[in-house]
Amino acid sequence: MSSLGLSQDELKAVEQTRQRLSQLSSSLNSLKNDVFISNPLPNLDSLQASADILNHNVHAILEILAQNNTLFGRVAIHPSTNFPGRTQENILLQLLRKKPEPDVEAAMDEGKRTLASMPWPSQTQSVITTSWDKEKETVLEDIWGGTRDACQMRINEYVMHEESDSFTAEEHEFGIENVRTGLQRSFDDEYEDEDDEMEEDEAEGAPTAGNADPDLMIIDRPPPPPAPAVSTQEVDGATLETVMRLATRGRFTG
Amino acid sequence: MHELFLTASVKPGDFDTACAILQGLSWMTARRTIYRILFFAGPPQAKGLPNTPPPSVLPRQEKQLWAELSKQLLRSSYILQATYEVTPETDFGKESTMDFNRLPATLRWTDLPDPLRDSPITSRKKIDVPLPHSVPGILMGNGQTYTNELIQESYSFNRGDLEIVLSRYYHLPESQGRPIAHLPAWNDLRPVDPAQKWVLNVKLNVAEDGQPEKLTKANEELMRNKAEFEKLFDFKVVDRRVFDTRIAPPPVIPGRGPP
Repeated sequence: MSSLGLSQDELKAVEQTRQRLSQLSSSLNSLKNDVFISNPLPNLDSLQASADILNHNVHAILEILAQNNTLFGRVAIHPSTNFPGRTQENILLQLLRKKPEPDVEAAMDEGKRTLASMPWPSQTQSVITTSWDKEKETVLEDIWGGTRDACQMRINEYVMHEESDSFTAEEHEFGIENVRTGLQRSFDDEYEDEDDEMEEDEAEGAPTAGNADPDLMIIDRPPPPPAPAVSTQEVDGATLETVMRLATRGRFTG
Repeated sequence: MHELFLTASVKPGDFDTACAILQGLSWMTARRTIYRILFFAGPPQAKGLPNTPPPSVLPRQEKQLWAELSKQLLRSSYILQATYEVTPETDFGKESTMDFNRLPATLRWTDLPDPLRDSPITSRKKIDVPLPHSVPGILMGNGQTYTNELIQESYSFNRGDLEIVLSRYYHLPESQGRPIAHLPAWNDLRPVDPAQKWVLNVKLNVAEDGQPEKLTKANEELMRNKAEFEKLFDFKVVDRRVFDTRIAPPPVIPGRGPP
């Protein structure tokens, strides 16, 4: 032990890392076997469970690495003097390798590229160069600028030509005289009256409840009238409201 | 307790996809539960629950819930539900009869939801009292009468505190004034909705009553979830009168005073 120059705690950290890595390796292996052996592929549940386990494993490793960052930064590894270096050269090379193996490196590069091309500039800033950043920003700005212009044009058109129209395009198609507005009087009259009332209300700062026609009952939220010529009952079965009402009271009457 | 929920409808053809997505979001497989729900109606004149059940039926920890429920039922009469968990394999299409007074059930009460204020969230008070047995007997002893029954089939997921439930309801054959003796086979049930759509509820519970800041927080959390879910589901603003459980008091004739 003493020859390693590590304290008890430091040794524990190394040992923990080793254990976690071995757990990760065995989880990966079991997933790999599952995928190889099962035909058809393992079901969604088991894949999800595996992903969950791998996620935990990686998380645990990251945690230990973060906690012991300084220690692992200064620890240098060398084989013990009595290690049969000549006969076990291969394993030594593998263990003491500082650069990743070529295929691992390729996978890491691919990961980095994927990360860099993710559309979250804040997370990738450290990876990409500033000029690239700038370029990306201009492209984004163009997209958003274009979107804003298009929105503004549409809003302009709406304000100039369509705002005073109280009916939807669909209602126009079916003819506005067929629209069930739920109002007793003709739509235009009511609209003007309401305008007056609104003004009065604003002056008094009180809700409309008081000054309505005494014969009219005030309902707290009248449901919107169904669209003309479409009978939802026949096409889609019972409405959501009907089902919920029955589920609440058990029957429709009483 | 207060419950807040969003409501959407899911077509039967979209059910499997919806379940797969919800499974991915919640990291769990759907839990299927089937309830037989008995509905009870209170008397026209609200009388509360005058007869408290004996301690053998009402455990001490539920006593407060019972008192709270009784207080609510003094204000107005309501429709109450007694829910029994059943399984298609053992309870349907068999000769056996369920003895409701010997089986455990949950007594459920829900209030008329709070006014909506242009929000798709339905928010209402509720009280659930789990009882080990004798629920119909206790209810009848308190002036409540049996009215009808329904079967609820539901698949539920949990994500943190969020509960996501897909439900479908079925009628049971008519049976004069009492629950039907033998449940028909599962496949012979008549769906409430001929199109067999599913009702999706995304729910949050607030355990404490009378803490508006907790309600506001839950509301915000549900709205955050709605932002995520509304790409998948079309949430509807449901008129609160749809969930009205109150029983109208007998009409009072002006000038004569209450009878």
